[in-house]
Amino acid sequence: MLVRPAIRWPGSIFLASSARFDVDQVSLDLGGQPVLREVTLRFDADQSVAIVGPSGAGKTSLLRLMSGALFPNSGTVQLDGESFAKLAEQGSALRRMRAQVGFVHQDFALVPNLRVLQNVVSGGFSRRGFWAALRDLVAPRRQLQEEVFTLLEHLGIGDKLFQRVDTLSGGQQQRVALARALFQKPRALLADEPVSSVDPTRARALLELLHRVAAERQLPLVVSLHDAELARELFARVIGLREGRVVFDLPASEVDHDCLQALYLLPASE
Amino acid sequence: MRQGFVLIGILVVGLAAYLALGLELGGLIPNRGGFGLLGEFLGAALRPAFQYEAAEVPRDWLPFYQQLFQGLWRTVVFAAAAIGLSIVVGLPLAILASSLVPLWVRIPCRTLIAGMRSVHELLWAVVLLAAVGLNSAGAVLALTIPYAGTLAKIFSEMLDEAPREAFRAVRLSGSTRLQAFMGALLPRAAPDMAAYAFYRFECALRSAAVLGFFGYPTIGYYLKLAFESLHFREVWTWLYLMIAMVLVLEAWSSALRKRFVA
Repeated sequence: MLVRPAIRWPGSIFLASSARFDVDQVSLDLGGQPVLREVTLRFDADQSVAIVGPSGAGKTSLLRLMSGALFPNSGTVQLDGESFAKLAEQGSALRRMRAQVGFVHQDFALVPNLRVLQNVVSGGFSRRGFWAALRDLVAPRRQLQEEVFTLLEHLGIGDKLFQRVDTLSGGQQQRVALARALFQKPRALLADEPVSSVDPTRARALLELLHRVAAERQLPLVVSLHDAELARELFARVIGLREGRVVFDLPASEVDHDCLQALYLLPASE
Repeated sequence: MRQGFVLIGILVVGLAAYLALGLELGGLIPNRGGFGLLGEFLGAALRPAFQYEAAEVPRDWLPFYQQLFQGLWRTVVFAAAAIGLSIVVGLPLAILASSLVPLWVRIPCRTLIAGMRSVHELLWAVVLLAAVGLNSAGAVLALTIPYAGTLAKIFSEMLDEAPREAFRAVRLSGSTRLQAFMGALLPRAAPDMAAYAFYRFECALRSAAVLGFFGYPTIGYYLKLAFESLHFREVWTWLYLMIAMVLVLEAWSSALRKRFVA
């Protein structure tokens, strides 16, 4: 089992032990509909993976399973050998597992009428008790402000520390969401359709940023994407998902036209 | 179509009530003496008093302006005390009545809130006046019980209606429910809650003023005194004072709302 180095935040930006995901024979039903069917995947440390596929393929559900938001009907999702499913009923153990996975949500899921600082700080609540968390929100210590500033600076929005989130552009808000996920000091980073609402140039810049921060921290990075071309260009490994099944799982260089045809081609009946 | 039936239904009920009460609009026309009094009263609206109308007032009375100021001040203080206490009591109740807590907590809590709201503050005032006598704490409590209930009800609805994405995201990062509530849900609902509390403060000012009719030293007390002595010009001064008070508060709260919400 990996042990996290007990280094304080500014120093540990570049030093976080990474995790390994094992998704084994996972099936998931939501509302009586099969969403994922016997999916088996392995994500190693220091790997960047894109999951592509048409909408409704189960990309988001897979990521939610890997973050402990959903639990499979059968099969297991394991983070370094510890299964999420077994923890479903155990509050604190589940929280501890969830804290290890950073998640950048498609709609950012920020509090628009709070400052950037407060939004980012809320990513670190898993390390704090109730009163400490309250203090972080209402009267953050100077050291905490500096930690968050360093992190934001690293993401190119240091000057936004005290701005309200709803005054920021979409791209800036996304960086705040990323900062919150990183402030969690996760051991893996997941992003759900991070570029669905930005233009192509910005999309590229954002994905490169995700790559950079994941590489610096040696975090496995798993991103769901609509745009297979972008996935092929920027990620080492691409997984094609369709109707809840893995259609292909290949190094990006081997993903060719036929693969994508098989993934996106509508069946004759539709 | 359905709205039409509802509307007709309401009209029928209204008509039935009219007949049941045996209302006669003629009753609204004053008699000869009444006309004189009404004229005098309305006429006084144009000439509010700037000093006591009585030629002689008791020695221990404050000068008129000071009396006005003191009545206004005490009204504001009563209302502020009541609203402050209502928020302190109402917010925890709101949380316990929201969908964040299990049903076995929520239902008793909602019942309690309904009970607090179902009796008007003036009735609470009568009860508390009988129980503890003319006592400021009694007046504040009389206002607080129904106000805390109303705030709790509306706050809990606001908490339930506030967008939950951020709350869920913070939960998913490994925080406890309470932490996520504090960091991502309460702040989301807070601007609406503050705006509503402000509106209730305005209502509390009016209620506090009316409590004066029971002898508490708010605007209502002086209003009643002036009315009973047929000092209509003084009555209008107090009425104008109250209108001014509400307008000032309205301007203040809308400025604050702009800062919070926009």
